[in-house]
Amino acid sequence: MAILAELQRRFGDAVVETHDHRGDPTAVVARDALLAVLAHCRDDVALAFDVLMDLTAVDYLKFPGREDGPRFEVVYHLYSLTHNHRLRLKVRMDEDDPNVPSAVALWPIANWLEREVWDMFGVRFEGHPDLRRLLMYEEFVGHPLRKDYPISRRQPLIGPAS
Amino acid sequence: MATACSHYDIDRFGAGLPRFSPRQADVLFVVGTISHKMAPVLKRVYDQMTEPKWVVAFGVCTCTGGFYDNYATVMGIDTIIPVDIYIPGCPPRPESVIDGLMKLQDKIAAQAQRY
Amino acid sequence: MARTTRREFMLGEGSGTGSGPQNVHVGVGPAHPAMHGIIRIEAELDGEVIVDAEVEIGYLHRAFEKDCEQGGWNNAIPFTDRLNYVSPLINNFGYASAVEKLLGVDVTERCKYIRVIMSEISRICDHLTCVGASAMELGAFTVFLYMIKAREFLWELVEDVTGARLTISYGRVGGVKADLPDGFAEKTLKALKQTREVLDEVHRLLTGNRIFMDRMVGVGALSREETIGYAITGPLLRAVGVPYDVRRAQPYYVYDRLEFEIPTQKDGDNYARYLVRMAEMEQSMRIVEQALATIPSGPINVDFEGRAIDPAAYVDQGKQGKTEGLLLVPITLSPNLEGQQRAAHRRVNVADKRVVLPPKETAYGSIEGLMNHFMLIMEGYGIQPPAGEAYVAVEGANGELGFYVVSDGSDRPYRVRCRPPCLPPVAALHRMITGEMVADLIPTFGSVNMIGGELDR
Repeated sequence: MAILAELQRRFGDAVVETHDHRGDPTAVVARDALLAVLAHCRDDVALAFDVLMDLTAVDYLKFPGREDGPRFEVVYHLYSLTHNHRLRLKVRMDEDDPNVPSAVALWPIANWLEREVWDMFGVRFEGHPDLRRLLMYEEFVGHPLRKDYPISRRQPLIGPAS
Repeated sequence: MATACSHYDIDRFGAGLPRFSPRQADVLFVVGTISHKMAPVLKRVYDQMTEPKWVVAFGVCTCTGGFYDNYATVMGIDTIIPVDIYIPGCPPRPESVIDGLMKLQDKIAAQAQRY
Repeated sequence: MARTTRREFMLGEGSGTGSGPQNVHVGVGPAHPAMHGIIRIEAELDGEVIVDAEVEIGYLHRAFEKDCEQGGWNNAIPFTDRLNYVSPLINNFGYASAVEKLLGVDVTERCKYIRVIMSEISRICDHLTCVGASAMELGAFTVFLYMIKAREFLWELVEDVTGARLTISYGRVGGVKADLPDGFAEKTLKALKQTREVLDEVHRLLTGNRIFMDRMVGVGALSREETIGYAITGPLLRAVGVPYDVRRAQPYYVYDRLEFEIPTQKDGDNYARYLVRMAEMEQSMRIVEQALATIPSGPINVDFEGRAIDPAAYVDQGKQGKTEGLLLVPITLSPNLEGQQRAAHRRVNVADKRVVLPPKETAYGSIEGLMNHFMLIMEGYGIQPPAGEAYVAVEGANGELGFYVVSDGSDRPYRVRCRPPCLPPVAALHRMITGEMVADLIPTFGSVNMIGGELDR
């Protein structure tokens, strides 16, 4: 895919892996180069990814074949209004170092999307102005979408604790 | 919302007037899933209502929690506040709502005066 | 000592600019009648002007994404219903499309048409609710009643097709639950005609209405750069002049064969959003009419007047005593146990044994069918898309509704992510209301059309 080839040409080793499964161009990027890649994607005229459609994370703790690898993967879905093409960027990190540079300076929507990832997965975004929970209440302990958080564990603020 | 409108119309049962403050209301319709984040707010709204007051649990999520057996949901608001009428359904059909409202009216009529 | 005016005494120094201890904090709290769904807006007011606002969400968080991981791939369909619960069919089909992309299956022609028709009907319902509710908050209660009446007409259609009005669980991976009922086309065209009459009345009531325009024009505007920066899509993006619509940009189902326009406006304020939504409803009705005209394959059973009648309706009519002419009809009872012809099942469900349950007579009649059924239902088996990930975007009523699914090759989803189209506008809400007066908060929030189920998931 032209977009992936362009990224590989420009960033070389920082683009760790690419694939095109089911027609979605996807690139896994090294964490140190992430902001540079994102900025390039947004500002380069040929790419022009002006919309950060989605920012989410996946916990690969229980994925068969990847239990020992990097646990978290933060996924960026980018879209370009001018060229009408999409890109998925991923960055991987280990369990003991879940930090990623924040994309707030590039797209204002990243503020809330990163807060949600922090809330649900516990991935910290460096440079985020106000990293706090978005969906759960402040007193909640833990990060619910992690695979080791049991779905029925309750921490009620009032009422019976079951 | 649909129950309040022309097809079903709960106004004919005397319940057409939603009051925008709990302090002026008689009946509290708790509609929709109550999460643990919302629960203290619900308790506060209930406490702000003046006696006599009744509570209707509208929808199965407020009755028992529905199929949301997870970390975020209160499994039935009767764990937090006393409930008079339970209207199940997800969402309840307008006919169920009217039926529940009529049962509430019967219940109120049958309640003894407490003073 | 100079005498201070009352205003200066109340507001402190100056004539009400800048923030300070005299500003009032107002919490438009979660339990508020004008907050559709539950959300908390904490506004700092200087007199009537909002100088700062903070929006807090999460009051309806129901762990959609975690719940989807607990069961099979089709088990997530009821959870997707309750995302955007005013247009649930779009969510169903969006999720089903994402899983179908992972599986690499393409649904049948007729199924695509059905999905388009039902999605558009859902979209009209959503816009009716949004415009009706925001008009009600401005005081136009009549408009609300009219639009809910129109919505009832459409919900009767939805009930005919799916069995429920709101939480329909109609989509399936590989198809839809059942074919359209007979006589659907006539009923739909009649309902659309009635809806058009309602929309015409609403136009006459609202669009040129001096009070409505005064309250909506120039209020809650967001610039084009900010709209794009906040990844806002849907009617709010089209209201700033960007004609982005997933149905046109990356056509899915049969949208590339249907003619419809993308209405846009320039100003980006509440009035522009209202106009865009009203125009979109008309376009959706156009799409439904075209789709009904070109949907492939016709009715199966016909009665003595040549109208389609299916066996179950025949029996129902008999029970109700409407037997005139019925005895003349050489009815053929349905040969299968589902009350529908076998062709109907194949017409709307993909012919792929790994994905779709076999028709009942095959399941009960042959050992292969029974095994096929077993392998799709039992825990540990079921639909097993190959390991991988896929992102599919459909045009929801509020904008791009995306589903990102990750599969590990087993029968349970590994991760299902819903990209909610109303999260970006709510994230930008504080930008929209800062600088406006507190009474403008309500119509601005109404025009954003935040749906709690989708925002908090």
